[in-house]
Amino acid sequence: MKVTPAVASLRFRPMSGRKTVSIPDRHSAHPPGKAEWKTAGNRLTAKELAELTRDAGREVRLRPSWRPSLRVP
Amino acid sequence: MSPERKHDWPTLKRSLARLHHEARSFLGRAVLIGGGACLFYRARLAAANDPDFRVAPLAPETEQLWLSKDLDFTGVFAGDAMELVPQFIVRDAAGREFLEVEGVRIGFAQVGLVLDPERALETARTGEFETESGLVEFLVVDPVTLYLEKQALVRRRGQPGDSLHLALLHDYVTWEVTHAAERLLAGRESLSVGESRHWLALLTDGAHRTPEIIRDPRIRRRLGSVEKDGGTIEATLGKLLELVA
Repeated sequence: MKVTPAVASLRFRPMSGRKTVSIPDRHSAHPPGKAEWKTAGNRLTAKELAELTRDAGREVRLRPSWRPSLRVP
Repeated sequence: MSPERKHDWPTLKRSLARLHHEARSFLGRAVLIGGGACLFYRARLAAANDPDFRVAPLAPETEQLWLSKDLDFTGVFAGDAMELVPQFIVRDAAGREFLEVEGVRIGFAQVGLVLDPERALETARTGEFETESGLVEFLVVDPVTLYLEKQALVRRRGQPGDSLHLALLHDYVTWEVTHAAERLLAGRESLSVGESRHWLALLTDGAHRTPEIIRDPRIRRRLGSVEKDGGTIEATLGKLLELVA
């Protein structure tokens, strides 16, 4: 199945050294949820990406940059 | 021929909510553009309730110009969309097929005057709102791209609605640039690296692509402390670059 570039987002909090990958539930073919790594660095290593892909059961690509969520009433 | 139906933001929201609940595979790859996106940013600016960037009430005849005849998306071809959401296909009297959700026609545009669909997907924001059945999420074109597209449309076709959209987007982008600079200057510790980079990119991108917005007097007033120190907006951007380097 083709995966869009917007399938998952990566957030890195330098103070806690925690990385969180959020998989939005709007991508129906993908199980929604989050995966966390408590390691330094604001990129996923190849090993982490492989781990995430294995857990998700399909290829995962990170979207290119942080994407703001804009809420409206 | 029946008169063209036009819709306000609450109606478009109902359509987006239905798509979210029944057609996430479609909404996950389509980017909202056009009048619907303008209405989204108008609602967002009104909700910000910033005294320098008020959304003024309009006369009823002007308010009519804000109504949108459809929800336009880029990033998906009409044929692919019909395969993804066949339950929303309707036929007009001439037998032509199109998509309609909650009474709102769904439109598709691959390339705008300045809009590139691949770039639009990369820079799209996530729009969201709450409904009784949960959070609705969708991708919406970023406001700078939409502003530049509207600017080109005003020059090309100059419909009254285009000028209204452009004026609102000018205010929205100016507000967002102001807000971003204030957040970055207040301290980046509270922001993630990705977020800091995003807001900085908005500022530097704005300086290159929309210099008229960077020169807006409201930005200068809000970042006045830097100006009083003998700096300029350009110097402020330089300072922000150092902060997030």
